Formats: sequence, C-alpha cells, structure tokens
Amino acid sequence: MRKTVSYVLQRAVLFSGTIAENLRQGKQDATDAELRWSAEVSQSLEFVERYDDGFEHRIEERSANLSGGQKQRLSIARGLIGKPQILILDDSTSALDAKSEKKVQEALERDLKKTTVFIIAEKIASVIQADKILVLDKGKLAAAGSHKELLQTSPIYREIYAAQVSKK
Amino acid sequence: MMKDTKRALNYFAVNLKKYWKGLLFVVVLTVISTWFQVKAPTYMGNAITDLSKYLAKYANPATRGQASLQYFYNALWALLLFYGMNVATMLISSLWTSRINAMSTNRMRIGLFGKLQRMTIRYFDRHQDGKILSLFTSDLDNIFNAMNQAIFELISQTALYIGTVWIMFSLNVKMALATVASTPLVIIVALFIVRKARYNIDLQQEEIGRLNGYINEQINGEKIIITNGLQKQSLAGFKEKNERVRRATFKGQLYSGLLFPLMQGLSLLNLAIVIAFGSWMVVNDNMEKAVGLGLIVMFVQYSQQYFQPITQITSMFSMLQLALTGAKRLADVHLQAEEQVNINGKELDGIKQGVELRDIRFGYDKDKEILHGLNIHVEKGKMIALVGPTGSGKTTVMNLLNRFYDVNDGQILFDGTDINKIKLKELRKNVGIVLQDSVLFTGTIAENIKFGKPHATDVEMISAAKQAHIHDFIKSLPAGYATKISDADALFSTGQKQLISIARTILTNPPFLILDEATSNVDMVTEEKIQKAMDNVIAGRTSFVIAHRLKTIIKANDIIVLKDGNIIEEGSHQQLLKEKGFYYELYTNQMVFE
Repeated sequence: MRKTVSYVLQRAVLFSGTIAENLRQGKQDATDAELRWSAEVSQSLEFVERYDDGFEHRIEERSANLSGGQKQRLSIARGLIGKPQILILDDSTSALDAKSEKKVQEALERDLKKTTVFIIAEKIASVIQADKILVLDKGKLAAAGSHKELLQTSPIYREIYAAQVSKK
Repeated sequence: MMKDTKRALNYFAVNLKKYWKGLLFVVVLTVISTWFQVKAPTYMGNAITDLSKYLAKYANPATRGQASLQYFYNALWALLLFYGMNVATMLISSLWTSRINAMSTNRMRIGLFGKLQRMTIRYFDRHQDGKILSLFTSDLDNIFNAMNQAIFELISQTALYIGTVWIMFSLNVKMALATVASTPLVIIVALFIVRKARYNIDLQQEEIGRLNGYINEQINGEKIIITNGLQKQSLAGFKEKNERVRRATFKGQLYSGLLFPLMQGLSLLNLAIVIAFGSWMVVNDNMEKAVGLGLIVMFVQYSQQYFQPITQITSMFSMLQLALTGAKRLADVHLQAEEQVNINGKELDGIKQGVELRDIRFGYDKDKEILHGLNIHVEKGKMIALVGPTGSGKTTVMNLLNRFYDVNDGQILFDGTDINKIKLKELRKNVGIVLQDSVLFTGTIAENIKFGKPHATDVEMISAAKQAHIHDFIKSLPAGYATKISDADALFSTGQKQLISIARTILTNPPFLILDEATSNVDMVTEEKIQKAMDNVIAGRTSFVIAHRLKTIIKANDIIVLKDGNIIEEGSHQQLLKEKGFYYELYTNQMVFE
C-alpha cells in the first residue's frame, strides 16, 4: 500500500537497530539507492558515510551514540523515504543549524515536487519560502497568506517576525 | 559457571548478613521442630504398648484391679505435647522466615535502586530502560518467591538429611555406607542436569530482559509505529523475542523438571541396593534372621528418608535456580562502575576566577576520539558560546563539564582545580544545566520547579518562574502551581516544558550555567522573553551556551566554532563576521530573510 501521509515528529525517536532498519520503517522495501537519497535530502548522508559500516551502523539503545541533530535528520529521512503525497514536519528541524535546514528545504523542493509539505514551525526562517503560511493564535486561525502578504496584513505575524529578526 | 553461583551466593550472604540472628533462630527452631516431629511417633508406639498392656491386665480378672490407664494417658499427653510443640515451633519459624524474607528483599530492592542512583550515565546510555526494569520486576520477584517458599524447606530438609545420616551411621555403619554408596552417582547426574538447566534459566532471564527492553522501546515509539503503519512489524518483533523467552523457559523447565523423576528413580535404585546388600550381609555375617530382617526393614525406611530431602529440593530446583540467576544478575549490576563522588575532594564555593578546558581529548569509546584536544577558557562572569554543525561535539563538551563522562586526556579546571579533585556534589551544586530535552516528573508544577531545591519558598519559586517568563502561563491554569503534571504531560508544549525546566535551574542559582540548545524549541516570541530573562540570569554568572540560534549567542563574550571535535574559529561575533569563515556562512544563512 502506498503511503499518502508521512509525519515527522518534533521529538525524534529512533529504535535500536541499524540505520537502514530505521529508515526502512518509512518504506519497508526501500532500495539502497532510496536509502542514500533520503539520507542525502535530510542532510544525514555526510555523517552516515563517515561510519565504516555506513547504513548498517548500529544505533544504540536510546540513540545514545547520536547527537540531537543527527537523530532529527534520520527521523526526517525516515519520513520522506516513501515519497509520500503529504509530508508533515512538526517542528522537526529545531536541532538543525540554519544552513542544514535550508539545504533540507531546497532538496525537498527539488525532489519532492508532487508532495504537499506541511511545516509546523516556531521560527520564521523555516516557513519563509512556503506557498502559504497559516498563523494560529490560541487555537484559532489568525491569518493566512504568503510571507510578504502576512507582513502587510497580520499584526501577529509582524510581531513574531520582528522578534526573530536581530535588532541591530 | 561456579564463579557465577559463587557470586550469586555471595549476593545472598551480603544481603542476609544483617539478619543472621533471625536466621539462626529459624534454623534452631526448625531443628527443634524436626526433632519433635521425629520423636513424636515413639510416644505413639509407647501409647499403643501401654494400651495393650492395660487391655491385657484388664482382660485378666486377677489383675483387673491393678489395671490403670495412667501410663497410656501419660503417653498420649506426651504425644499431644510433641505434636503441639512441632506445630508451634514450625509456625513461629515460618513467621520469622516471612519477616526476614520481606526485610531482605526490601533491602535488595533499595540496594539496587540506590546503586542505580550512584552509577555513571554511561550505564544508562548503554542499557535499555526495559532491561533495567526487569531486574526489579522479574529477578527480584524470583528471589522473593524462592525465599518465601523454599528457605524454610531448604533448612528443614537439610536438618532432616543430616539427622538421617547421623542416625543411620549410629545404627549400623555397613548398612549406612550401602545407603549412601550411590550418592556420587546422584551428584554426577544432578550436576549434569543442573548445568543444562542453569544455562537455560540464565538465558531465560536474559531474554526476558531483552523482551522488556523491546516492549519499552516500542511503547515509547508508538507514534512512529502508528504513523508509519508498523503495527504488524512491531508485533512480529515482539513475537520473535517472546518466542526466544518461551524456548529458554521451556528448556529450563524441562531440565529442572527432569531432576525430580530422576532422583525418584535413583531413590528406588538405592532401595534395591540396600535390600540386596542387606540380604547379602545377613547371610554372610551369619546374623540372627529376626535381627537381620528388622535391620533391612529399618534401612528400607532410612533409604527413603535419606532421599526425601534430595527429591524435595530438586522438586523446587527451577525456583531456586531462578533465584540464583536473579542474584547473579543483581550482583552484576552491583559490580558496575560508580561515579567518583570524591568525598574527600575539595569544596567549591562559587567560581572566583574561571573555568578552563586544557587540551581535552575524549571519545565515548576509547578508540573513537570525538574531541581532539580542545582548549577553552572562560573567565568568571563571562559567557562562552559553542556553535557548530550537528555531531561536532558540543553536547559532549557539556557532558564533560558536569562529569557525566570523564576526559580521556587533558584537564578541566574550575578556578585552577582539576574537577576530578573536587567533591562531585560540590561540582554539581555549582553547575546548572538546562538540557536539550526538558524532563518533567510526575507531580505538581511547583514540585517540578522546586526539584533542585525542595525547601525553596513559594516566593523564591514564583520569582524564578517570573524570570523564566512562565509565571503568567502557570497563573492562567485553574490549579496554578498545584497543576498536576501527568506522565504524558501533553498539557504543555515543548516550549512551556523548557520554560519550567529553566525556572528550575534559575531557582537553584548556580554560579556556572550550561544551556544546551535551551531555547531552540521555544517559539520566537517566547525566546525573546527568555532572552531578556537569560541576560539577567547570565549576568554575574559564568556560562556556556550551546545553541543553533545564532541570535541567542551574539552577546557572548567569546564564540567558539566547533567542527569534528576541533575548534576551527574563535572570537567575538564581530570578529568572526569579519573573518568570513564558517561562522560567517552560518550567520548569513540564518539571517537570510532579513
């Protein structure tokens, strides 16, 4: 069965087992090429390749041998390996540096053109390129539109934006 | 193998030592009780003899007048007394056994949890929670069961065994030797089976631990399983591990179950030996037939009595072996490395000069170095920021500063003193940490904020919450600070949890502060608030900030850029921008939307 929705959680949870096993949770029959591709898009390939055993490298109990950022990258890779029609990223890039996050987004745009991506984020940098941004406030939709539109129309969005832009 | 058993027995010895007086009392009582039990039948014999004497006298008219039931009554009273004493002593003894059992397993449980609290973080990083939990739920339970059901039996059967051997040898040495002659064979057979059974019971407990570890991990990852539709796979993994438990359990039970019938069989074989040898002896030694026959009949009884303790104990074998395995596994935990508390180390009263990392080399595995000779110096009251790509070693530096792990090479100095020479308690008291994942415990919000300082006043707590900008939110909850945080704590967003844990750190007022990506999960409005609060908190404190949000660290006195465990750039924000290196690239990427 083809997966339509894939969801990448805020708290990256991996299971003890190899990296390949963890990624294949997103697509059971994923080929080696697909593993590579998902790792590349999620910016994990660079550290996975540094292990002698690559994708067969074992993730320890409670992922003790991975850093917070590495866990998040692999969790993103698992989310997109099945090329879902809808991909939900729930604050899943919080432990990524801005550069890596940008690379992830660029790769998503390049390789997952047909996928609708929902990004749930707390920082504007993560959503600035989105086609449509929904601003929620106290459980209600406060505003919707592109970044430029919202800067014009939504005071809340402006406030968030102002807070995030360095004052200097 | 023998070493394992020795370790297990030693574990029992250590935990039971405190109760030796009680145990001795139980042993003495059991011996007395057994004596009453063994002795009682002789009074029954007496009673019957007396009764028949009485009847004989009574039946004869000449002696009817002399007939008295006095002796018969005396014997009956003695019989009653002996049985009564037997029951009473047994009752007291089993009462005491239960008491000692409850106290000693309680002691083992506390000992185990206490040990866990003293161990290094390395152990927890390397062992699944479920595996650790099964020490409490499975192994300790096995010990408890065995002690409850077997300890009394073990003592009384041993007493019976010794008593029987002693009586046999005092009656007839030759026959006694014939009775015990097959014992070496019994021991060889038993040892062979015991070894098989032990291997499988050890394996069974190991597999149960693995199964529990799996269950725990799957439950923690339930969201991943559901969103990826992995339920079937998860169940398949469970079944596979469960099957291994079943197989080991079956084999363990099979082998320990073999012991009892085998011992029964050997007991019959022994009977044959005793009868054959007895007949041969009676014929050969020209013994009077009646005496010889009596001797054989008596030793037929003793042969069975001699084997009774052996068969009784083997029938409980799997229970006993489970307890031994459990004790071995607990003893293994007790062998694990503990944190060096440095009880005689130096005191640390705040930081007067600064903190220095001198040529630090470290790897979680000794042969895989992660940090390759770092030199960092923080002066008192200054703020150092650590930036770098993921996996560059930022969190590792924090792990070292707090002595979660110890350096392989180099030194970390607080005011010039190596942290290995400072009392661990003092060090931790002076170092406040806000971790990447904020952990809240079941309890109220107030309890969570006061976690690091339980006796803090409400005024202090509220002030800390205000500084962490979480006070207004807490006040908006119906129960305020008394709001219960449940296990799942779905009530709070990640950001709010982080704010509570920041309030917790603020309350402990540490002179040295480590913030590990503390603000990365907080929404930017909140982060702005925290930023202001942090400026106040950081003021006057020496601090280490590990963050990806460059804005939070622009104010740092010194920024250190870490890559692959090496410092590649160092300087103030302005200096690093001018250098147009790695930091410049990070910064311009981050601020791309400006």
